[in-house]
Amino acid sequence: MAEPTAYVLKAEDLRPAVERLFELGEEVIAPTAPAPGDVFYRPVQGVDEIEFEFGNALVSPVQFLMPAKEVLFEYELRPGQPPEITPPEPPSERILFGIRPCDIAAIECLDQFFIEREPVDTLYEQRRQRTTLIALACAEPAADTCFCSCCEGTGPVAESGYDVQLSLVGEVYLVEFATEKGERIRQQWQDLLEPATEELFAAREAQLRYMIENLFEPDSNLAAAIRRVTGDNVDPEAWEEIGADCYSCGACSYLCPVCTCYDVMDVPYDESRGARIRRMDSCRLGGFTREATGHIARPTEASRARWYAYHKLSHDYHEQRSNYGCVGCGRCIIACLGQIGMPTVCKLIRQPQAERAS
Amino acid sequence: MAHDDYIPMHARVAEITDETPTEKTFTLEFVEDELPFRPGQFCTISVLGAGEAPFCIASSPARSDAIQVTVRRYPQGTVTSALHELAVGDYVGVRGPMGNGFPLEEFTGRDILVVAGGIGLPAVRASILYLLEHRSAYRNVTLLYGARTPADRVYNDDLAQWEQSPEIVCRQTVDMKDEADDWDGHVGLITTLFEPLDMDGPQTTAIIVGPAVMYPFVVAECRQKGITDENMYFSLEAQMKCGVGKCGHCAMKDKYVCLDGPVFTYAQMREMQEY
Ligand SMILES: Cc1cc2nc3c(=O)[nH]c(=O)nc-3n(C[C@H](O)[C@H](O)[C@H](O)COP(=O)(O)OP(=O)(O)OC[C@H]3O[C@@H](n4cnc5c(N)ncnc54)[C@H](O)[C@@H]3O)c2cc1C
Ligand code: SF4
Ligand code: FES
Repeated sequence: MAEPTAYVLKAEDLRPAVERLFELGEEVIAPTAPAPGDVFYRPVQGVDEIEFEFGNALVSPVQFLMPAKEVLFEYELRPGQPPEITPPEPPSERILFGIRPCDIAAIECLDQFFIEREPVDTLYEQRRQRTTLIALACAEPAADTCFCSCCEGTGPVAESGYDVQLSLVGEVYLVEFATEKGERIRQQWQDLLEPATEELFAAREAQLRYMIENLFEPDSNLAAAIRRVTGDNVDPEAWEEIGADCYSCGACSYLCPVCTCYDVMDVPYDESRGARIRRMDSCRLGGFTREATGHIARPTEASRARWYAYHKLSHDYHEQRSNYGCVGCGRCIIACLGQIGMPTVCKLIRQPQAERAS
Repeated sequence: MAHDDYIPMHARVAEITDETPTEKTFTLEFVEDELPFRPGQFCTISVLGAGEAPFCIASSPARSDAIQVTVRRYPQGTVTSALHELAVGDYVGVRGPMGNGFPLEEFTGRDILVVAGGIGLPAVRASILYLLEHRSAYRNVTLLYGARTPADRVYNDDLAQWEQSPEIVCRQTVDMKDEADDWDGHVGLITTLFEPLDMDGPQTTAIIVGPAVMYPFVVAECRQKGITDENMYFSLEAQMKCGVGKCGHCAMKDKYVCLDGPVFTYAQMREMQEY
């Protein structure tokens, strides 16, 4: 990402600025609140549909880049001839507005996994190339489950990964344009913008420090858990404890914006036509590693808990994702039927054997 | 692989051979494409409507306009059952080649020991054919093949030919046989074939494929003969949904079996196993 160019936007000019996004003729996806407290990212037709006062949505906007279910191709069987195979239509251009920094960090992980790391996932890449990301930095923790502050700079302000980022600092937004896609938006907003001052950056930095030091629960300490998992220095009893509280429902990984696993299956429409689809899957489910022989590589909750933690936290996987597999969005804490969201998992991983025995 | 990762190539079923009551070998001719591959690589086969599953390419890499795969049918297996219902002239989809394959060119000048248990033989057939086609580059080539019963043996024609061939030592066994079985060969577990072998262990590279239960016993025999863990190559099975390192199903430790494997040395497997 090139050095972002920074401007100031008056807080009251946010709505007019967002209104102009619709003039670009692209699909705009933004947070909406169909009922108080329920926040969903959805395609919107106008600025009035958008919810500006929100924490974060339970279902991450990464769903617009990696949908829960997607058609890989459609087929039609033809007697005596090879079947006809039709790939999906290329995606159209769109703007994702109001993405929280943790989800921006998750998208960076997906970019690394699906695009940078061969072979390229063409379906993801096409959508990604046609998506403009407008981030909305958090001026306070979005929820009491947030722990981005201990996830290597994934939030509450994004360090990279966005095209445009808006950070509310007092009465104004600091607006950073980081890419060519962002530049397009800058031109649209030109007459609403003033160049940003050093003082504004300093003020945001101070606000960020204050938040990290005072407003977040500090005790998930992901870094220490990462060291233990990477060094294979975890009391095996920890996996049993985590496993004992796991219902193998998969909710944590379904909601995790960094999780990418999927299943592939055919869905016939009728005798001769149908689609091959991929759809979200979870390594927390018992059948995830079942081979045709019936052998299951990870048959217990404990073994799957260990795998989940290893895959997300071990340094072995860092390169494939450009970060660890957790961005601190806290969704697994909300989703877990037990009490084993990522911060608790980290705590149990860190607990030394001696302490557990006593 | 091509950029449209999920779109299979069309292939026509040119021949179907019944190997056993549960295994058939399909010869698949590509309609437009070719599929150059290395021994030990695999592909996925689609029967549209039923789905797609991974299979080892069992034919010689000398031919890339057609391949052979041998498919064991599982009673409720969606794809394997659909494949077994196919007739000559039907079409399937093929994606591949996938995986790393056996690095046979690195084994030149060495003795090669191939150990195949049951449905493991298709996974090493391409390698055996390659070794025989490049015979002068290798020293002794030995195949040990074990099946459950005489009726479970695949590739009877190949085996009969290899047994007669001066180019390869071919030893076979069955775990058990009935009165009715017309089998006068060796009876006993595959490990019993090692005993009489005169081998130069440190000079030998082993290629081992079979059911996972067989592995610890075969590893013990190989070590006994002086073959190092670095020189034992296995082809692993895992649940696979994409074959391109993205769906996550086949991940073990920090490896994706579909991309980094399916061929691993025993030294690598020791590192991966617990995950
Ligand atoms: C790299 C690689 C190479 C391979 N090479 C070969 C080869 O050369 N030849 C070969 O024959 N095979 C090979 N296999 C195995 C082959 O891929 C499997 O047999 C195939 O995927 C099975 O597909 P299926 O759709 O028929 O079975 P599935 O429908 O997936 O079912 C397989 C078995 O699991 C059972 N099952 C399915 N769903 C459930 C459930 N929910 N609960 C409990 N049981 C269930 C079924 O009853 C059936 O017995 C290979 C696998 C890999 C990974
Ligand atoms: S985890 Fe951080 S970046 Fe994400 S919503 Fe919460 S405060 Fe914002
Ligand atoms: S089969 Fe999908 S990652 Fe290996």
